[in-house]
Amino acid sequence: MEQLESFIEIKKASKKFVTRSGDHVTALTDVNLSIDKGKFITLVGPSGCGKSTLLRMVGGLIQRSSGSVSIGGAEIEAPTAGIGMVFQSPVLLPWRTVRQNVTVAADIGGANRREVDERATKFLDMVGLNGFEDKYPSELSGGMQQRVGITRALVHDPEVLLMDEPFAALDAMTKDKLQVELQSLWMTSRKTVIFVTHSIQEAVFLADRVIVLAPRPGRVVDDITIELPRPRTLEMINSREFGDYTSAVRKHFEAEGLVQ
Amino acid sequence: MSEVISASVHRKVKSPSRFRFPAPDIVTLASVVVLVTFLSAWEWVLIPLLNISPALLPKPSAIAIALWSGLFVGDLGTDILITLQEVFLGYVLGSAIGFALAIPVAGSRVAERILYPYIVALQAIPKVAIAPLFVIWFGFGMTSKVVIVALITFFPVFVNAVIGLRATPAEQDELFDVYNASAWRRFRYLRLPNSAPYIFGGLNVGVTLSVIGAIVAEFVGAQEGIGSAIIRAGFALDTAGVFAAIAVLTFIAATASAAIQAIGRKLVFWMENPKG
Ligand SMILES: Nc1ncnc2c1ncn2[C@@H]1O[C@H](COP(=O)(O)OP(=O)(O)O)[C@@H](O)[C@H]1O
Ligand SMILES: [Mg+2]
Repeated sequence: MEQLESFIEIKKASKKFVTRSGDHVTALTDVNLSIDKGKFITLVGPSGCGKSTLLRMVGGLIQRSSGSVSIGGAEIEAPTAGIGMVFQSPVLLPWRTVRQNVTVAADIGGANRREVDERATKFLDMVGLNGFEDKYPSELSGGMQQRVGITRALVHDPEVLLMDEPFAALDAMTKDKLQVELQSLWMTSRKTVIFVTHSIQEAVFLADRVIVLAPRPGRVVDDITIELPRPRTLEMINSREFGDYTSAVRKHFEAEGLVQ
Repeated sequence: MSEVISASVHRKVKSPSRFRFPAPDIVTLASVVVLVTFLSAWEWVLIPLLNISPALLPKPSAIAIALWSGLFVGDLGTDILITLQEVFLGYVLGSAIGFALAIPVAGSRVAERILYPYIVALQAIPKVAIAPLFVIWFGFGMTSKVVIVALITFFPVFVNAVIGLRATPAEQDELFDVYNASAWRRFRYLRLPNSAPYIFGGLNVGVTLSVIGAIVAEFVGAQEGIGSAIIRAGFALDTAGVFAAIAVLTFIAATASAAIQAIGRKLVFWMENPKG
C-alpha cells in the first residue's frame, strides 16, 4: 500500500561536507520531511545546525550525499524554474535599478519578459516600492533592499519560495514590519514557503509548521504545528498561546544548552 | 609597477570618512595661484638671480615661444598627430589583447597555469631594452611604435581584468545558480560589470604608460613624433624646444588619463554612489 505523496518530500536526506583540511562534517543526517502545497514552513535552530544546507538541498543548489528530495513528484537534482530564493543579504546588483534587479530573471533567460514585467509592477506595488523602480540599490534602506530581494524571488512565479534568514540583518522594527508584510504577501499568493530563521519568535509568528533542528549532527528534533489564526498581528506575540509555542520550541535549545 | 597596479585596484574601496574638499572654485583658484607663483619665480627670480644659461634652463616665456613657433611654424603639430596615433592604436590594441587574454585566465585554472608564466615572463622583459628589436622587425615607421605601446599597455589591463573578472561575490553567483544561468549570461551580467572598476583602474595605469612607451619607441628610431622632436631639439641644443615638447607630452598624458577616468566614472557609476 503506497502512501500519498506530499508536495515536497524529503526522505532520509543527508549531507556531508569535506572541509579543506580533509575532515568530514556531517551537516545534516537522515532528514525526513513532508510539506503540503501552500504551507508556510519555518526551519529554526542555532547557527551551524544545517538550516541553510537543508534549504539549498531543496532548491537543488547543493548535491545531497544521500536520500531524496522531490517537489511535485519530480526529483530535485539541480535548480528549477519552480524555485524562488531570498538570501540573508539582499544580493542586489548595484549597477541595476530596482526594476532591473527585480526582473533579472528575464535577462538570464527562462522567464517570459512580459509576464515578469507585469508581475514586477504588481509586487513592487504590494511591497510599497512604487516610485522607487528607477532607484539604485545604494539609494535604498536595508529593509527596502530586502523587499526588492523578495519581489525578485516572486516575479517568475515560482511554486516554492525558499528564504534563508532574510530578515536577520535588519533592525527590530523593520523586521516586525516585514514579517507582517510577508504574511500578507503569502496569504494572497499562497506559495509554499520554507523560511529559515534562528529567531524562535519569528519562526512561530510566520509558520504553519515550525521544524526544529539541532546541531552536531544537524537533524530534525521537532515538528510543531502552529494553530494561531491568520492574519496574525504583532499583538498576538504577547498572548498566552504564542508564548506556549515559543516555549515549546525553546525547550529543545535549553536541553541542548543553546538558549539564545 | 606592481604597486601602481594594486593601488589602482584599491581605489575601488570606498572610505566612509572621505576627506571633503572645500568649494571647488577656491581650490581651482589656489592651484592657479600656485602655478603662477611657480612660473613667475622661475621667470623673474631663479633664472636672472642665478644667471642660468638658456641652453641649460630656458625661461617659461622662451618655452611658450618655442611651443608657439613649433606648432605654427615648425613641424610640432605633425609630430603630435603622429604620436597621438601611435598611442591611440597601441593603447587600444594592448588593452584589447589584455582583456581578451584575461577572460580564459580568469575563467579557468588550467588556462591560468598554462598562460600565466609566459605572460609574467613577458612582463619581466624590460620593454626599453627590446625596443631596438622591434625597430629592426617592423621598421622606423608607425608599426614598431604601436607594437611597443601595445606591449606596455597590455600588462596593467590584463592583470586588473583577471582580478576583476574573479571579483564576483559568491552570493551573486548563487543567485545566478538559482536561475540556472548559462556561462555566457554569467559573464555578460555578472563577471563583466563586476570587473569594470578594476579594468578602468588598469586602463588608467595603461594610458600613462602608453605615452611613455610611444616616446621611448621614438627615441630608439623614428623620423617623426614628439619623441623624435625632443631628440632633434636636443641635438640642436634647442633646450626651449625640448621643454615645449615635454609640456605637450605632459598635457597629452594628463588629458588622456582624465578622459579615461571620466569615462570610468560614468560607466562604473555605482562605485561612486555613497550609501544612503
Ligand atoms: N561548503 C561547506 N563546506 C564545509 N562545511 C560546510 C559547508 N557549508 C556548511 N558547512 C558546515 O555544515 C554545517 C551546517 O551549516 P549551515 O547549513 O550553513 O548551518 P546554518 O545555516 O544552520 O547556520 C556547519 O557546521 C557548517 O560549518
Ligand atoms: Mg545559514
